[in-house]
Amino acid sequence: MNTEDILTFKDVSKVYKKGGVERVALNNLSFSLNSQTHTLIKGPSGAGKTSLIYLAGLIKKPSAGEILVNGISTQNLNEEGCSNLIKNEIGFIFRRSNLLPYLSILENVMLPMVSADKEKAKRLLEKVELDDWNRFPHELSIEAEQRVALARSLVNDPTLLLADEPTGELDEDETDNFIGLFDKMDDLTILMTSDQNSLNQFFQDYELEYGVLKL
Amino acid sequence: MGIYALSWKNLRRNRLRNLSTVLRISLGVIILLILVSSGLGISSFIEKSGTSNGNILAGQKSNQTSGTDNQTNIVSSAVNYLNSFLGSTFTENQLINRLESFLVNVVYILDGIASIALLIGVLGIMNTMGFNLSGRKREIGLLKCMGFTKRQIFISCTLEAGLLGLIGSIIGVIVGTLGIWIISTFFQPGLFTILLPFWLFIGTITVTTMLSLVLGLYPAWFTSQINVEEALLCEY
Repeated sequence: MNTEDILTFKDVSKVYKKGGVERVALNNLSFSLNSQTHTLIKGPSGAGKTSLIYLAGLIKKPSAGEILVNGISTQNLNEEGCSNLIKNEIGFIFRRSNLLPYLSILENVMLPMVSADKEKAKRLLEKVELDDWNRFPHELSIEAEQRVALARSLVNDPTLLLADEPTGELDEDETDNFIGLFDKMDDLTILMTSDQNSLNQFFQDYELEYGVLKL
Repeated sequence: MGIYALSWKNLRRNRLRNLSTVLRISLGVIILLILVSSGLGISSFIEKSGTSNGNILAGQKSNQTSGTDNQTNIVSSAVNYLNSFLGSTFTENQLINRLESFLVNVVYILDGIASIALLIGVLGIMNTMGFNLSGRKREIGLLKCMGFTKRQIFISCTLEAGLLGLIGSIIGVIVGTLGIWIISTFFQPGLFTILLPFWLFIGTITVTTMLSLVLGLYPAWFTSQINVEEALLCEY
């Protein structure tokens, strides 16, 4: 493992069991993401993209194999350890912004903060080109909501940003605008999943075919 | 902002449901205050009369020496009336003792009713919190993705229940005190006074809040166990 590796999967498998039937979502997956790389994982629905993101984000435990985040093995971490690692190292964005409707966008961004820092939250909102901090999520477009979600994911200075189909509900222009923001984040390692081919130009991309990763 | 500040912010949601719960708790507190303060008034009356001359009306009997034998006559005529009406042979002292124990029992009954009224009011918390939290699965999933632990989510949800109880009890104490003041000022209860000691306020608020916290434990625990993946797929 390279010391610059931010995320490493070592022979990771994820198997779901439902009603006595086993379904392999990821099969012996091994890869590393170097620091400051932007990686896109493409694949059809059911290929295991979301499982991969959840495993990388420590939301799920692998059925086999080992995952390292910033050089730290997550195999034997308890809930508290995982929680600390998520808070300090990982940022999340999803297909839906999942903003809390009764909080202003500034409060939404401040939500995961370890120690409250309004100025930092405002700076992050400016970075994603939003400046009306007291507006509420229902007053924003879906793309603007996603930008707030992006600002929220960056609030604890993560080293790894995990994005699970964040452009899934955006049209082409909105997608370009949103992905364009990633260019400002050179210092961040980004792992994004999508089923849109148009994004290839922005990322180093991999294809995930039913649990197997192909370059 | 921190997850615990969410407990307060969350009260802005489901306003009608939260308001009805707060009002139910307030009503329970008002009934508790009225009944307990009346009970305290009766107890204090028994105590005062009892310590002056052994029992309630004996105290009044002692006024005989100061020239007001009118009350002694009232007691005697009451005994005579009861004896003739019931065919009993009560002496004055027997009647007085029975009256005293009757009043003590009335106080116990008042306290019992008061406790039940409060409990019924506060029990709504469990229902309200269950409904409130079941509509927040996706949000709880998100909190977990942000690195909040089950314990933090559990404490935050329990605090929310405690806050509902605290607000309800404070409103109940204010309205109840005002009501008791109006009754005692304009309707002059006469023989028994209504006593409203400071400890009753503090005690009522503390007990109600603690009960609310306890009743919020189960919905909060249930919520904290939510599976993140399923929660994020939820529509609500």
